[in-house]
Order: sequence, then C-alpha cells, then structure tokens
Amino acid sequence: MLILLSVHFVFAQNIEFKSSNFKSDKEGLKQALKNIKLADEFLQKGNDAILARNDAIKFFEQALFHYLPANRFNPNNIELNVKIGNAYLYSNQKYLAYDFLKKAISLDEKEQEADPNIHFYFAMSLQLEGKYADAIHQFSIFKKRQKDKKFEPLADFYKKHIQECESAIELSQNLQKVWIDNLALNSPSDDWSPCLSADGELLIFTSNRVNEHLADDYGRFDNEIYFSTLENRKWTAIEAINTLNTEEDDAVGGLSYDGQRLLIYKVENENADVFESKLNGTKWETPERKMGKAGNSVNTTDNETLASYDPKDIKVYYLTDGGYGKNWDIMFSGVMNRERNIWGKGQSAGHEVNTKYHEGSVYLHPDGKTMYFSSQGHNSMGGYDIFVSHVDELGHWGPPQNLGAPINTPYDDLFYSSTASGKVAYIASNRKGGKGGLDIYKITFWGSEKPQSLDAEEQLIASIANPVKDKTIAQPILVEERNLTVFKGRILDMITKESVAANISITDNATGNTYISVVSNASTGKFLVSLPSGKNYGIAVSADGYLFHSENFDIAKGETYNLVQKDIELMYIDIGSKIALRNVFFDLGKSIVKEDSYAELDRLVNLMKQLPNLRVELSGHTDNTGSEVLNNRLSQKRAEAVVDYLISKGISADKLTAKGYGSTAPIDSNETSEGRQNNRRTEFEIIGN
Amino acid sequence: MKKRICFFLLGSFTSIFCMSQNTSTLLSDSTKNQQEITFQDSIANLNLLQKQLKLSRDAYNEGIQLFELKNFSDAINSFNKAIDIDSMFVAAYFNRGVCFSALSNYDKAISDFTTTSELDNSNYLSLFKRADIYRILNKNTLALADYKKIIELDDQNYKSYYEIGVLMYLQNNIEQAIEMYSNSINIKATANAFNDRASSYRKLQEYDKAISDYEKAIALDDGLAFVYNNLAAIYRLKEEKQKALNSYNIAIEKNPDYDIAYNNRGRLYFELEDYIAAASDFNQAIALNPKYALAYNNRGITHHKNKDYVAAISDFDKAIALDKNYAKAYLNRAISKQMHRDEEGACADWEEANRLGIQLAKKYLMNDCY
Repeated sequence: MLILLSVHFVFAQNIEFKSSNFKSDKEGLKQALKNIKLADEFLQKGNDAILARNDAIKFFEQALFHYLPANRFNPNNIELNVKIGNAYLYSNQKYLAYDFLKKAISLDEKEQEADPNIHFYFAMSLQLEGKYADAIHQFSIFKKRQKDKKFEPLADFYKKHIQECESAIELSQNLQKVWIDNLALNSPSDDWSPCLSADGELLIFTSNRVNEHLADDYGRFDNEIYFSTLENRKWTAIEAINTLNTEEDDAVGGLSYDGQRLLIYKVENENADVFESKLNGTKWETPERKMGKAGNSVNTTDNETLASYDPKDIKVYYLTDGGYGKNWDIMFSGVMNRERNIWGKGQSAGHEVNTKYHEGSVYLHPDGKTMYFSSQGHNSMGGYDIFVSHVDELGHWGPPQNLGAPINTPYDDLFYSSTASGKVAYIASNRKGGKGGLDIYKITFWGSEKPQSLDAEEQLIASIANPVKDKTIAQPILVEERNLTVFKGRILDMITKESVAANISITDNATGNTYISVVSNASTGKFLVSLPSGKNYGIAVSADGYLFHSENFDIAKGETYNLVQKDIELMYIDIGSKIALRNVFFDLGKSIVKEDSYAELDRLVNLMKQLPNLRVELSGHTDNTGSEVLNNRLSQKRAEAVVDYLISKGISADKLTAKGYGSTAPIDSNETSEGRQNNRRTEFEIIGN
Repeated sequence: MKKRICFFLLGSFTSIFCMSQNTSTLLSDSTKNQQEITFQDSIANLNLLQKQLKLSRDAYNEGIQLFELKNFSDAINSFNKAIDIDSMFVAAYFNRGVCFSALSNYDKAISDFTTTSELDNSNYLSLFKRADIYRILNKNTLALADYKKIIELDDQNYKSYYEIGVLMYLQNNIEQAIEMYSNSINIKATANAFNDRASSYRKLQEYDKAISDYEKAIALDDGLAFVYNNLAAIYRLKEEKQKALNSYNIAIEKNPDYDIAYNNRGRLYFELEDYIAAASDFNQAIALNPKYALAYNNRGITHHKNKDYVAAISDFDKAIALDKNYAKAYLNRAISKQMHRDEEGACADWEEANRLGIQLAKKYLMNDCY
C-alpha cells in the first residue's frame, strides 16, 4: 500500500474533470462539477472583497464547503487544488492551504498548465510556513510569469507580502522571551477576543463553537460570550453568559479592569454599535448602548464594534469601519456629560496608529499610557500582528512597535489583554498548531532572567576545621516592572462576614484628588483597582446602614509586589436593623452557648466596644415544632445565655436586652426543614445608637 | 625533703608533667625503743605508701596504654584507680579529662581539667583544654576567661592571644580580633595568625591589608592550601579574576583533594563564563566529596545555563536531599522548574525558599504564582 501510494505520488499528473477521465462514475463527476461551479462564485466574491480590502472569511468558508467534496472526488486537479489553497489562505484555517498548493505545484512541475497565480498563493503559504526566503522567490516567479494586466491589481499585495517577509526575517532574528500556551478552553471553532480583569482572574471571550442554537447551512454557529475564572492557577470550565447571548452573533470587546463592566457590540438593523453591560452580583445586566444614542456622532451609520475602556474611564476606544478610506480604524470618544450620556465625536487614534490597512483590535493597558492594537499594516509579519504604542505628554499615540516573534506570526495575531503587572497577556491567533480556527493563547513574559545563586565557602579561620558558609546571595537584576499595583479586596459585614455592596473612593493624599471610585460587587464584596505605586492613598468606604470607614495606606515606591490585598469590614449601625447570628450554636434543647459560637459573638463584642453608644436586643427564635411554652422558655433562656456571654466579655448589662420570641417571629416557612432551620436563630437588633 | 616524680604523658599530647610528692627521708634500722618503734612504723608506713604509689603509677601507665589504643572507657577506669590511691595525682586527672573529652563527656572533662589547674595553678595546658570544651559547648565567655587567665600566668603566650583573636572574630568583634592576632604575631609570627588577621581585614573590606597578611602566612608556610584559597577569594572580591584563578590553581596544586577549592574555582570559571571548566570543577568537587551539597547546587546552575533544565533540577534535588534546609537550592530549583514549565513545582519551591528566609523568593511568588 505504501509503495503504491508513493508510486502514485511520483507519477501523479493533472487530471481534468472530464467525462473521459471518469467513465465509471458520471454521476460523481456531475456532482463535483456542480460543487465547483457553486464554489467558484463564492471564491470570486471573496477575492473581489480582498481586492477591495474587505472582510471575506465567510465567502471563502462557503467556497470550501463546496470545493472539498469535489476534491475528494478528484484530488489530482491542479486548478482545484489552487482554488482550495486560495480559499484557505483567507480563512481562519490558513495553515491548511500549504498542502493543497504544494500538491498543485508538484502536479505542474513543468509550469505548463497552471495559472501563474499559483506562485502567488504558494508564496503566501510558504510565508505562513515561515519559509520567508522561499516565499520571496515564489513571489518573484509570479511577477515574472504573470502578464502585466493581471499583475497590476495584485501589485500592492505583491509589494506588501515582500515587505512582510522581510519584516518577518528581521523580527525572527531576535525572539521575544515568552512562553506561549494554547489554552485548554479552546475549541475547534474560533475562540477569540480574550478580555482579562487586571488581576488576571477573570477571562471573558467570544466563541462560535457548537452551541444550542441552530447552525447555518454551512454548519457554522453564532458567536457567543463565555467566561472562566482562574482557580489555583487554572481556568475553570467555561460558562456561557446567558444574559448577554442571543441567537445572533454576540461578541465581547473589552472588560473593565475590575471585571465589573463589559463592552460588547450588537448588530441592530444591520448596523453594529458598542453596548455596555454591568455585573450586578453574579448577573450581567441587559446591555445598554455606550457612548450616547443611536445615530449620534459616535454611533454612526458605520459599524462600531470591538471596544476598550481606558483606565480613567473617560474615553472609549473602538474599532470602526468608518475610518479613513472606509477601512477598519481605531477611534475614540470621550465622555462629556456622564449623567446625560453625552459623548464627544469619534476621533482617530492618530496617524501613527491607523494605517491604510485594517486595524483589528484595541486594548488600553491599566497604566493608561500603553495601547496594544492589531493591524495588518506597519511592519506586520503577515496578516494581523499585535503592536504597542505609548502616549506622549500631549496625549498623542507614538509610533507603534511590533511585539515581535513568537508573539506575532505570519498568521493573524489579534487582541491583547493583560494583567496590571504586564507579566501575563492573552491574545488570539489562527496560527498553525492550534485546536482549529482562531484560538486563545496565553503569553507569559519571562521578564529579566532570574539569577541563580552560586554557593561557595571559605576556610577563613585557620584553626577552625568547619568552614564558614558564605551567607551572601546574588542580588537580582531588577525586572523593568510597571509601576502599578493591583489593589483588591472585599467589603464585608463585620459581624456576619457577608459581602456588602459599598461605594469605594480612593484619594491620592498628596493632591487630595479622587483617583478612582468603584462599587464593590454585591454578591462577592470584591473590588479591584490598579494604582500607581509610590503614593499614599486614602480609602473611603460607605454603604447604607453602615458606619463610614476610612483609612490611609501606602503603596511604597519600588514596590516589588504587584498585588496588595485588603479586606475591609463595615459596622452595621442602623437603629431597627436586625442581623441574624448564623454562627451561634446551642445543643439540642439546651441553652448553653457552644464554644464554636465564640468567634461570632466576639466580633459582636468588638463592635459594641468600638461603638459605646450602641444598645442591642438579643433575641432567641425557634421553629414551630414542639410545645409553645417550651419554645418560649428555651428561646428566652438562649437569648439570656448570649447576653451573659457578652457581659462576661465586658459589655455593660444596661446596653443589652434579652428576649425570647419562641416561634412567633419566623423569617421563613415552617413547612420545610430548610425553612425551619432558618427560623431557629439568634438575632440582634440595634435599638439605640 | 621533696622528691620529684616525673611522668611521661603519652598519646596525643606531648607535654611532660613533673609533680611533687612529699615523702620522708629513709634511715637505716638500729634501736627499738619507743622512738625506734615509732620510727619503724613510719618506715613501714612509708613502704606501704611507696607500694601504693607504685600501684597508682602502674594503673596510670596502664591508662596511657589504653588511651593509645583509643580504649577510652578502660583508660578512664585505670586513671580512676590511680586517683583513688592518690587523690593528688594531677597528671591522672588531666589524662582522665582528655579521655572524657574524647568520649564527649564534657561535664566530667571540665571537672577534671578544673581539678588539674587547681592542684597545679601553673598548668595552663589544662586551661587550654577546658577552653576548647567551652567553645564546643558554645560557652565562649568562659573560654575567653580561660585564655585571659593563661595570659595572666604567661604574658608571652602567643597561642592564647591567637585563640582570643579567633573568639573575637567569631563574635564579629573584628577590630579586637586584629589587635589580638597582632599581639600573637608580635610574640611569635605564625602562618595561622597571619591567615586569620588577613581574614579579619577581609571582613573590614581592607583587601590590600588582607592580601599582604595572606602573603606573609604563605612566606612562613608555603604548604597551606587554604591560605591560597582565601587569597584567591580576596582577588575575586577585588575583581582581579586572573589572580584569583592563579591562587585557586596553587591551592589545588598544594592539596589535590581540596574539594572546597575546586568548588570555588568552579564558581570563578562560571563568572568568567567558562561554563565547561566550571562544570568540570564542580564534577571534581563532587567526586572528592559526594556529600558536597554546594557543589551539586553549583553544577545545577551550569546545567541550567546550558538550558538542560532536567539535569539542573536533578542536581538541585541532590543538594536538597543532602541538606533539606538549603534555601538557595530551593530558589534555584524553582527557577529551573519554571523554565521547564513546571509552574506548580516552581511555586512550591519558592514557597519553601521563602519559608527558609530568602526574600527574593517572596517576590517571585507574588509575581509569578498568584
């Protein structure tokens, strides 16, 4: 079999789709020719779109849908192999083009039968394979063989590809010190637009993987938004964000740095605008149009799609096909009146950033000075590459730098979302070796080499046999680190340890200006901000019913740790407010406070010591099982036992009242065991302050 | 009258003890009056005493023979016998102390040396011995007092000055150490005192003075490999790496089994970016001393430099197996594990290095593990 195959390969010849070649399967031939005819139309549309520099992936996917069965019928046709190569080169599975084009070239060794374009496409696939010199050679053969009239429309592309190969050769000389990992959560479909919270623990992305909606005629599913969280350095199983996903394409653009707000885009009446959704507890709320009303100077009749927050939260950067020359450019709009939702007219991110080619994504790093974006222009190695630009003092974005190989490849490399420390970033790429289509990759920067510490000992004292150990250790070369610290934590109720949605305001104490205001998440109590190091900050936390909390803290200059964690506990002080003490325990039918209750009661003691005016009523409650008399007596005794404990800890008796309510004040149904359990409780009510 | 009885002390110490024993003059037999009888009794007593003294001396000599056979327990029994008969037998106390010391029975050794010096207050060898034990027991203040007592007894005792210098050095009292070493050198110039004074200057970062003293030590005794090793270390600190290399070469030439010098030269080669020579030296150090944790650590680093992370990790494993509290080896292994993409392992090692007190590990933990 192996021998037969290799013989076949060596003597393979171009086989035309002619009835004389397929006498025994005329029906098959007919079907193949029909498929080719259908596919040719899509291919033509696709190639026309490419010449017009428009997005055309769908056309090529449709062409492939028909070409591939024809090729299975007759794999040895030069022209069909070239067409398939052509289609793959503009799809998200570019890496599949090479084998078809290689075959076409081998079938046409004498360069007699194939259109000279074969060299152009073969060169493109060589470029993707990283064989840049060979690619340049094939491009030049193409130029030599192709007639002027047919070369002319491709002249720009020809020049661009040669430049890309030259850039690739240069950028491959000096590889970036990074690890690039394909994420386990990728699928054979497209997984793209990774958006990371600044602490690197929440990842939201878009994928057109198989979902519960109906696939289209070509087997493709709509894009949906998914999320995963980092636990023990691993991404948890992904979940769809169902409150945002519809049966149409839903795609995420940017995540706020604290992971509490999301920019997505939605298509309404065939026009895309940027929308925003906010996380309320664990639920993403219905998205609302960002940057003002539909049809204003930002939300134009052009499409506005992938967008990024800026750390000061006064601008939104976004992709639009309404840029210069109507190709995809990066623009931004600034908020003018937040209450009335008025936003300034969209402006270009600048001539250094936008090119006559497409820009594909934009992301503002939490340091506010760095923009990562992708572009087919500049010194791309091929397709989209990711670039970084820094803002100058006047607010202009400077000349971009290519992030270099192996972050960028000749394939499409897009998106960039990183932690505040910049140590880890996520990108999407349709490079070879992935799980299929666009995949999300994790980039881990090595940073400066970590010096290892050699060890030596001396025999400094002649009379001492035991050598003195060299205690010194080599100082590391300092990594060039971002001067940013992620400051995160939780706002909790001091007594119950439950999370509190609180307004957090952080002030730069040197200037007295509010640096940032955020709201902690209602269901987790979490908050997260990125702060420049080397300053003293004031943090003020307020929430309804709670005592206002404020304190100062330093984030030292040259702080080497990029993470400061702080939990803040608020004291509930509203008169009339009742708080169930869930961690106060008694033995069944008894009124002796069990030892494992002390922690919670001690927190109550603390609160009362800090607020000497506080007066509270401790109340005992039972469920409705058993005798009412006994229940009343037991609940009274238990309330008294709690009061006795508090008195023993130094709380004055006149501030405490004990009362047993028996089963008269249920807070849940007595019909279920869970309800009865909730009803059996100790409660305290603030009766004076 | 006084009769001097001299004992030769054998074994590891070579001093000769001369001890005094009071005896009466021996007279010839003649009359038998009361006086004579008394006299005769005293003769009998004297004979008895002589006989007992002989028994004591025999037991003592037997003890010395047993000591030479390293049979310390039986030697102690013999010295016990000698002391039972003659409770003033200074040399027996001393020797028994040496035996107790050899058996690490330090309390009894100290007691014997104390008795020795009380019975014979000019005996400062016992004070040296006692001070040695105090140092083993980390009672440096008591050791220091003994050395000072020796100097009171003999202000030309250069050894005592030297030992005080060592104690001062170990207590990081470098200025005083230098003064004591200088006193010792002024009485008698020795290679050890010059070496140690040089090491003291090193601590004060007075490298030129250190070099000068190491060279004087070498001038007095050219055979001391460790002095060349120390000299090399100074040149390395002075960034005179070629001179450092030369000195390590001589140290190894003087003592071809000197594992420490191989390890140190290996480190120098590493710093000179000659990784092949470095690896070869670390190999040699390990061949000479298969339990040399430092050399495994260092060889691991050369493997890491060659991007052979598996071999590097294996060497750090060995270093840690030899010394489970070897903080640097944990730090280094973590770095190799990280490059080998074993993030969990790297973070666990940084945790351990941090726990063992390496600050840098905490930074790596915060930046790379959370």
